Amino acid sequence: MPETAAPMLSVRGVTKTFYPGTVNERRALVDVNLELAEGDFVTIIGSNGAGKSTLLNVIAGSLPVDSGAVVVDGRDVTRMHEHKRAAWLARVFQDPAAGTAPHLSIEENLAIAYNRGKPSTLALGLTRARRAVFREQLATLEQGLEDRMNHRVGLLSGGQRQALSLLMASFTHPKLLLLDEHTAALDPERAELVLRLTAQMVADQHLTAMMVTHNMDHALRLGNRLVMMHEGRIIHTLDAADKPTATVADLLDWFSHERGGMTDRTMLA
Amino acid sequence: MLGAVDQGLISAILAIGVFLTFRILNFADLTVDGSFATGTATSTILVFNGVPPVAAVAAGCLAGALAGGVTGLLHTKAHIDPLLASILVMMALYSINTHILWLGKDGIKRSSVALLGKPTLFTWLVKHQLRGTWVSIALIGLGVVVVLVLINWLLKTKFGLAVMATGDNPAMAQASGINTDNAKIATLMVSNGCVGLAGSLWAQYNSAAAVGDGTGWILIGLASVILGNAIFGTRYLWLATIGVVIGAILYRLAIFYALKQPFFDPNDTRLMSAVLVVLALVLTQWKGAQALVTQLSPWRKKNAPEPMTVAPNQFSPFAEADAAAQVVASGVPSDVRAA
Repeated sequence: MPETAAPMLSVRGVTKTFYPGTVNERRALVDVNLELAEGDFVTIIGSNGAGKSTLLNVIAGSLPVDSGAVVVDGRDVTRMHEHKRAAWLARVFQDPAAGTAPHLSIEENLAIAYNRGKPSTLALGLTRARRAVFREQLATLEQGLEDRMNHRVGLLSGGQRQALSLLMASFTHPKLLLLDEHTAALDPERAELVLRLTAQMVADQHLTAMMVTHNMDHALRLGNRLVMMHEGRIIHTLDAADKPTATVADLLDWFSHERGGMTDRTMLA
Repeated sequence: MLGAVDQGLISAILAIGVFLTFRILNFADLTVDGSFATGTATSTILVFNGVPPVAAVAAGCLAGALAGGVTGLLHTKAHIDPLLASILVMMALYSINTHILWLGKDGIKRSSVALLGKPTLFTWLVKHQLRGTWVSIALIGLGVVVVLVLINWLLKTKFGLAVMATGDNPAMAQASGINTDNAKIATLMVSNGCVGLAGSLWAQYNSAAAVGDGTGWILIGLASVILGNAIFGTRYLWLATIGVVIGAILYRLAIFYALKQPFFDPNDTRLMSAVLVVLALVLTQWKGAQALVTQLSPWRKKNAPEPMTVAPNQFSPFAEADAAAQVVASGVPSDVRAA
């Protein structure tokens, strides 16, 4: 990666507090700074409530920041509405039901994703040419979905839906792909499949990506950088040089270091 | 009886509008009672003042669309609940509709206007005594087909997909770059445009309009949608919308025959409407009735691609429960939605 290039994503001093001034006040993000160069794939780990998902929501625009800035490819999107940012950002959610429209067919869902960042005009949503593209792309998922294009997405299994969500998120080549614990709701076998597809898509399309996960093994296996969060702060980072040699034991070590006497397992539960 | 079919076809245009909000957008829009009367008032007063009937109908349609737009703005920009936003507009429209009816060029403030001797869209039918015959059914039916084709085309466009996604999964729609506010406002405008159009035609068909014209039409629209969807399902958009038209005709026929019974009088129609909606809602939940309908409907068996694991009624009012059941069935805990 050329170090001189402008960062694809730049999070500058972002702070976010929920329920400020009440007894429930929770500082979800505290002066978070993060930069991703083009092609970076960062995995984010941390205990529950560390602010991982909040960080993704703030970048995607579904949550406003209290202070700080989010800059995507040189463009300040901090005050931009979520649906406008979606032109450059794509997400896959933890809940397989969240990223797709269950009562619409597979091809209709794909057509919506295909139109990402473009106006909803009165042109036909599905054409013969577009269906052919979809069929070809669906085949890469190895789920047999290419033969079920007019089936409703609600009929698919959780794993198939996440695979589809992944395809929908990636095939408009977003500047930034946000993955929010997208394998957490799947059984180990399906999680493995979706993970493999993720790695493949990010590599093939040279995407810049962020993946939140609870699974330290996944966090180490995927991506070239790693960020560890705790109580709204980034407490540890691994760059491209150090990440290949890091182990789960190292991660646990840093965690317990941060938490003093508390055991690793309770922290990560 | 054929007159009832005429009426059913005109109200079918309203029912298609209700289908757009209630089923596609998942938005309980009660503006209908107001925007229907806006349609009748606008088209009637314009004809009364000498405007050509076709232009008057177009204006009634536009006025309905504007009313829907206001509901949409109240909901999306002022963040008012759909039900409340539409009730507010419905109430406000009562006053506005009164003012519209006062716009007669003779300056007299009437609460109802009759189009005695004025030319309407239906003058030719009236002159040849063809209202309530197969001729009128064919002509009005042609108009309904045009609306059906337009709406089905609209839902197949990129805009239509955006609207369907907005109704089905708003979070996904936004994350896919869809401006859900605009999608809602536009759909409410198209829907109430249909309602205004139906009102305009209704007034010209009856050569009269009154302030209270709109009352109860949301129920008629809902009854038609629920009845039609119960018979034709919602798996295929074409069938679903045709079902809505047939539902509207069936509704009119049901009321027509009920009123022929000596123990009912016209005052009872609203009670009948309410009972009909309840019956349709309850029956569609009952598995026995679903099976019976499926057995009696050849198109369902022929087109059904596979046994449904999701409830057969797309966009059903119980879609949330269906989705939950689906999630449970696939072994995913239902409380995993990202914070």
